[in-house]
Amino acid sequence: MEIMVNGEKVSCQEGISVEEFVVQRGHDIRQIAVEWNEKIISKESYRNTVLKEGDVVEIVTFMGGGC
Amino acid sequence: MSDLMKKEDKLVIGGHSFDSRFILGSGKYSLDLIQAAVEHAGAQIITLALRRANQGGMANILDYIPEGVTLLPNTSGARNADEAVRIARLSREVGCGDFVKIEIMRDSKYLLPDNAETIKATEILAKEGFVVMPYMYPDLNVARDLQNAGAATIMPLAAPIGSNKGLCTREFIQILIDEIDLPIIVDAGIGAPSQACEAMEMGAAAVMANTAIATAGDIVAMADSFKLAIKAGRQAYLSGLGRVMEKGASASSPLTGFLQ
Amino acid sequence: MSQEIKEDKKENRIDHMTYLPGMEKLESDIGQKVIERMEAYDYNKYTEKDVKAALAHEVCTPEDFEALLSPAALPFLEEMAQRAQRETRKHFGNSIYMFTPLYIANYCENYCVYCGFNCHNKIRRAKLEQEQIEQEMQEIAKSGLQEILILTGESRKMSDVKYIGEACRIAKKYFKVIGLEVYPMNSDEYAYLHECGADYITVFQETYHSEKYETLHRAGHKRIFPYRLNAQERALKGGMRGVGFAALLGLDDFRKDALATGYHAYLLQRKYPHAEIAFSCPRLRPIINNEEINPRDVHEPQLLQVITAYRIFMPFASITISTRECERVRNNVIKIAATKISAGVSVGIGEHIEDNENVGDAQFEISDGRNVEEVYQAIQNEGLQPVMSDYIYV
Repeated sequence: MEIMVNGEKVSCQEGISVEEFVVQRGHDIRQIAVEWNEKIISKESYRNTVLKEGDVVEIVTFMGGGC
Repeated sequence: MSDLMKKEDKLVIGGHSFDSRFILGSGKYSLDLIQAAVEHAGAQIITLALRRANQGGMANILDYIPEGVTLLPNTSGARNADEAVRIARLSREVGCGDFVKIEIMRDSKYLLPDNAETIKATEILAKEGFVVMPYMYPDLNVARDLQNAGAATIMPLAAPIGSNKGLCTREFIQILIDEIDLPIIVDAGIGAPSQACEAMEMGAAAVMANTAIATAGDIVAMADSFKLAIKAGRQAYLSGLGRVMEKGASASSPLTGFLQ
Repeated sequence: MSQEIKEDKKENRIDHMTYLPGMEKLESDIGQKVIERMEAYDYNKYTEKDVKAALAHEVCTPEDFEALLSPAALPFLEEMAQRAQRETRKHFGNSIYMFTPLYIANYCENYCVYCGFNCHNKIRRAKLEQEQIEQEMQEIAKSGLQEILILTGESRKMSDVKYIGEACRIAKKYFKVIGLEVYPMNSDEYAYLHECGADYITVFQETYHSEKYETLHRAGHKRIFPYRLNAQERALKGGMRGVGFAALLGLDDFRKDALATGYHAYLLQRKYPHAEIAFSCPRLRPIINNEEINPRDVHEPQLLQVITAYRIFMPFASITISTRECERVRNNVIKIAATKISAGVSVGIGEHIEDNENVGDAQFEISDGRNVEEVYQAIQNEGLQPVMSDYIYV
């Protein structure tokens, strides 16, 4: 199935959880936040949130920034 | 040592207290210099920006920031209050505390903050329990509105971001320092340690700098220079440095001669 | 003298810190902050050095204000006057505002031991009817004045809010600025009077020292210390544009009272930045030729110290110089710090009209009886500019 991740189409396996998906992408869960279909989800719910066709996911982290 | 020099002097923001009055920006560096810069700056607060994490497995800035340093995510990239609120909520969800520096710009040339949207975002985020540190154009009425909206500090700009032009808004920042009962943290445009020192002598609670350090020949030594300048300015302020006004010549006819 | 007054015995007085029924209670910490700062104020700890530093600072902090009110500042009175003059000219130019007070009633329910209007004094009481108010105002307006200060004794019964409101409505026909100096009231009542045309209110706290206050204000609404203390804030909540402050210097320790007055205004201005702030500086005159020198007496130099300290601390505030002071003092103080002066003053009731039979006695004796023209001329003679009002309703 296909989902949108950070504005790009990505294919992934059916029934995969958010946790499995971000770990597969190589993210350290401690360093990211996830928005799932325009809703911020807590880290605790990554495991029980199952992705489905057409979902829109944003994965964010910090980078250098100042003034 | 005088009593003053022995006295503890903490910067308190939203109930958290800090010894350092230097807030360091983490932009425009290579990651491997961050740790040394933070350490030599003596900074206890460092700003960060939120971005899409497109690939995993890459070096992450969080791995380079020394432990115990308070992270201050900013909302850069936000063009209005709603976007700033969204970025702030996502930042908190990463799990690095409740601090947020609101930056809302809808001007990509000068990067000047949008004060009206900043007030809106401050109100929403303060209600959600964030420690809100709004970046703003120094305007007394706006500062009062921000205070009423629940801001923990006020962060007026000294000059356009990255310009290194120093205290262009000096008189207006002084008004905020005199009138607002929150820490005033001078943000943006500070290009040299002498300017940071001057801001502290005026009574600013802290100084935030980034570009001046990131673009220096020796980043680590410049971080150290800023640290010393900020400390010197703070101590001078506490020592009772007087702002001396122009000395009027004494009048030839005294005003009090009529008294009986 | 045979009649005994019940409240002269302390045990017969009501608690001066407890609100009476109907008195609005504000959620505000300003009163408490003022009292705390005043109690902590130790003016003997300030030295010449502190005074010099305070004078050198561009912005006068509350701490600097304390130094300027201390005995150590008295030798620097000339410097304070010079600085005050610079601040006054910076904020007001050469303008001196003129107004006159109009007493419309002298009924009073309070028993304040030092006041001529107090309810136990056997004086002629009077209250002007609406037509008489109108006549008096017409008469005053002929002098060219555009600002009027309406005063009553403090009797809610004899001079109720509606009566004062009517006086404001009449005043609005003849004047551009209307001030009130009446008993403290609730914010909705202030809102009503503002609607009737009142622009600002002045409430004299007399003294901020509550123990002393208790001994002087023995009966009546005025006895309730905190209700009076919060009057200005209620007025601002009611929409008044400006509020005036004063301690009657000399009732108690004048340095502490002046500090409290200034700090009270300072805190309210910070909380309500739009508020226009005004000070009056009445004093009890020391007895001349008194052998004993009382350090708390307010002689002319001490009075000038307080006035210039107010000016330096709050450069933008209006300062009124009272007709309790003589012509010489008033002419000089407008050169230094005062920005507002009354003229053509009558402190009795109904005295502007010659054949008025409804007259009441005066509250105190005035020391400067000059009429409007004379004061106008005196202001010009000092190179200053008399101003009748500086705004227009739109």
